[in-house]
Amino acid sequence: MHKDVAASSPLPLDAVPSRSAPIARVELDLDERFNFRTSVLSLDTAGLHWQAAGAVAQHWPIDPALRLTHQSRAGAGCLRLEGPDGTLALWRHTQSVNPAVQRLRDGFRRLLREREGASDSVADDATVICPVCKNPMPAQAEDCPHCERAAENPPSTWILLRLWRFAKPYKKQLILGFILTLVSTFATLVPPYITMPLMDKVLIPSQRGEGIDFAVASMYLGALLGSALLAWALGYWRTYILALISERIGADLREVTFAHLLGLSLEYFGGKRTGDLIARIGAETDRLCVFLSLQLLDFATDLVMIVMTAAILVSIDPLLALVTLTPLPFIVWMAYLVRDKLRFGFEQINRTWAEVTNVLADTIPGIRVVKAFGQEQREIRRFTELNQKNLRMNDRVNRIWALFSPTVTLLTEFGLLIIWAFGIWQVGHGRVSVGVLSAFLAYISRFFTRIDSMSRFVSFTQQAAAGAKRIFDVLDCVPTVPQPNNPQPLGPIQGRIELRNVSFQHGSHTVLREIDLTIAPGEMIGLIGHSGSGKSTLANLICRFYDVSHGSITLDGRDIRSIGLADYRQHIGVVLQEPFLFFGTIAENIAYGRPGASRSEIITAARAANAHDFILRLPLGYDSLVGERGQSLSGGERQRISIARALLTNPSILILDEATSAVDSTTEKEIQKALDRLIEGRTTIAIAHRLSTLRKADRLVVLDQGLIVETGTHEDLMQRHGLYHHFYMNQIQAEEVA
Amino acid sequence: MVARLHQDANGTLHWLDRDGEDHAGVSLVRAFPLTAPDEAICVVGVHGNELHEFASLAALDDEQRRVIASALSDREFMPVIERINSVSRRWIPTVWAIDTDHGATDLALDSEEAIRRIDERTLLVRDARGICFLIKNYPELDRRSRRLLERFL
Repeated sequence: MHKDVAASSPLPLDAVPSRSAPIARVELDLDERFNFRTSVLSLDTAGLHWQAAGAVAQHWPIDPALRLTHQSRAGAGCLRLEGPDGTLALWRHTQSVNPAVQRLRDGFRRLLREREGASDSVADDATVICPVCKNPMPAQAEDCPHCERAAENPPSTWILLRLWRFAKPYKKQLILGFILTLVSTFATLVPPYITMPLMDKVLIPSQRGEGIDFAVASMYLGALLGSALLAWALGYWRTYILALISERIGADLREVTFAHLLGLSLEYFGGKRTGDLIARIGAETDRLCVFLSLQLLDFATDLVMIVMTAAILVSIDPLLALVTLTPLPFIVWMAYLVRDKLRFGFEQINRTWAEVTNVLADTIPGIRVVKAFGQEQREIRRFTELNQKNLRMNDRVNRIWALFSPTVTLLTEFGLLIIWAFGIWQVGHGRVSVGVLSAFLAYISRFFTRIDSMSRFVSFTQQAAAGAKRIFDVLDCVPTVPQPNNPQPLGPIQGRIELRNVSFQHGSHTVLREIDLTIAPGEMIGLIGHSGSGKSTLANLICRFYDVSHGSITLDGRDIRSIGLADYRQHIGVVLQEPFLFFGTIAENIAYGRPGASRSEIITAARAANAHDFILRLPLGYDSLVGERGQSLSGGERQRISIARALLTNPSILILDEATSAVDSTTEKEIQKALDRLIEGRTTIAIAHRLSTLRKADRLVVLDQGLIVETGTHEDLMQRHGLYHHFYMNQIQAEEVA
Repeated sequence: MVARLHQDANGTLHWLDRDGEDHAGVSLVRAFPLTAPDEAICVVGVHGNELHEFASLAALDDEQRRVIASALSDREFMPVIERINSVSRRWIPTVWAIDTDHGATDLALDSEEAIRRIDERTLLVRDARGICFLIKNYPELDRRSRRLLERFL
């Protein structure tokens, strides 16, 4: 959330000339010598104003001779105002106010341009991006609504109530299940009740020598049998129905979470670890499912049972009932006490478990690196350490837990003791019959076993709540590349791409600045620059993996943010440095972008990608399986399959991100032939380290530190003797050495 | 000039292309041996380069079809499992006693990945020797074979 444009000013700004509303305002937090001191720098149409505590305010009017530059390094940024005779002023600040500083700098430059007469209609600051979560913020808002919402969600048992969203479709079955629970529980409570008349009307009279009334006895025995059978049948039905529902809720939860996860932007995946996400969708949903199907169900039954038992006991003999229930408050109090400790314990266990999964998700795909560097023992150690940590966490929880259960049992025994003592005394005084006492004893043993299992529920709830929190963490995440509402479908396109004043910030770091570039339909653009100069980011912005922070990107004159994502990406083909092949056949991999493609189309694409011949050499041709990382194929072969994949979708726009840099130069030539065929007639943006790859480019664009520094054909740029010339000469030298 | 495939007296396969050039020692390769064996049969030269593709067998005359069938039968070995008589164990590793269209044999299974589902009806079983066995129409196998098989799916 940003505090950089704080509304309250601690400093008086009275020594300044007449002022309009500020365009940008920064609370600087460092002085010239990097000491932590605050001062305020603001910009309005009159110019720049600076005020430090205990110093005279300074003012610079907007003057075309002035230049305002900004650099940031090692956590601190520096804003420098330069005049014709050198530096006029220098302001330092920490990264936390970076976005505001950049806004101020951009505003200053815009004012300068306006002063020079160049009307500037492109720049728009309407959308402000939150520096924390990267979501667009309402123009006037101080705090980002997305961040705020995340902060409002402390882990709590109440999070389980949010599962209602998934239970809602099964409302009817749930109600039926609950009614069945009530009835079947009631049926199980009948037998102890019958012990009362069995004792008082059959057994005790017979002891007195009155003989047994077999008719009455068999009636009661029949009732016992009947209620047992009824309880069995209803219990079966209930358990079945509720288990069915909870499995479905679990399945829905998994599907929704996975679908939501895939809808999230690339940025999210950049910050998450595979193992963690796998654990969330796999283990966590399963745990919730078990919780809903078994534990919650048991708990509901227990609760009904306890309430009903209490009611029956009170109806038989209120005083005896009161005595019987004395240990209950203690148990409830204990459960409450233990709850918090358990919850944190379980959340930690879940997190450790995710870390264990992370090691697997790291090590197995990276097995070649692990083996090549002989680091098996280290990975085993890492795994063991986490596994031990998991063990320790479990031990800690179990220590509390182990104490809890026997204590409940002890209290139960106390309860029984109390009833025996009190009951015998009562029977001795003739206040209750032996039948009533035996019924109480029968009830109470059920009652306390229920309490015991209910107390277990405390831990299950905490476990489930911890799991639910981790799932809702995913579900609450808003994609940073939002789908437009009701987008107009994109018809056939020409492929003209225009970038207007595009800037992109990652956190507080500006990756691209003020990029203006028009790419004509069918034109091939080569992007050149050092690594980190923003080439890949530019390609990612055009793919709309991220959204621009400022400015706009248009396709055939339409802002790409107004086009449906799937619709837009359908027209884009991407060939990456590391081709990814999914587990499946080669044919399936080629047809990944167009699952309906016919076999002859697949073959045609493979031929054009120079892949057909080597595919025929495989024992099962196009039906050969390629593994997760396509282990049986070489890098060049995999790359040609990914080119065939891009060819098959027949995209109008093509992005080649270092498509040939992972292979040797002979293979590169093979791939280059395939690429040349792919490029034909498509708007192409190619990124390459090897400049030879870009010989077909119509125009080369050289990027440096997020800015376009040179544009033109190879010959133009060579004549200019700039950065491109430097790159080219370097590479020629390197090749000569090789 | 009509391009043609023919086999000489030594059994060597020749491809006579449209320009009248004779390519000796060519081989036939099915592009989709499992999912569409009769589509896209490619003529491949000695250097592994494709010379021609028969998109479908239906468009060819009987004589060509016969040459193709005999050339393919010379190089293909993918027995079809017709019956599973017994299994040594119900878990992997295991040895199945099977009847195939090439006669009865034993099949040793050594990994879970050895059984691959091609589609609803077809399974491919790769045994420890590396031979691929095909199970066509898996739901129509006899009851006993199906039962034995289902333990491994």
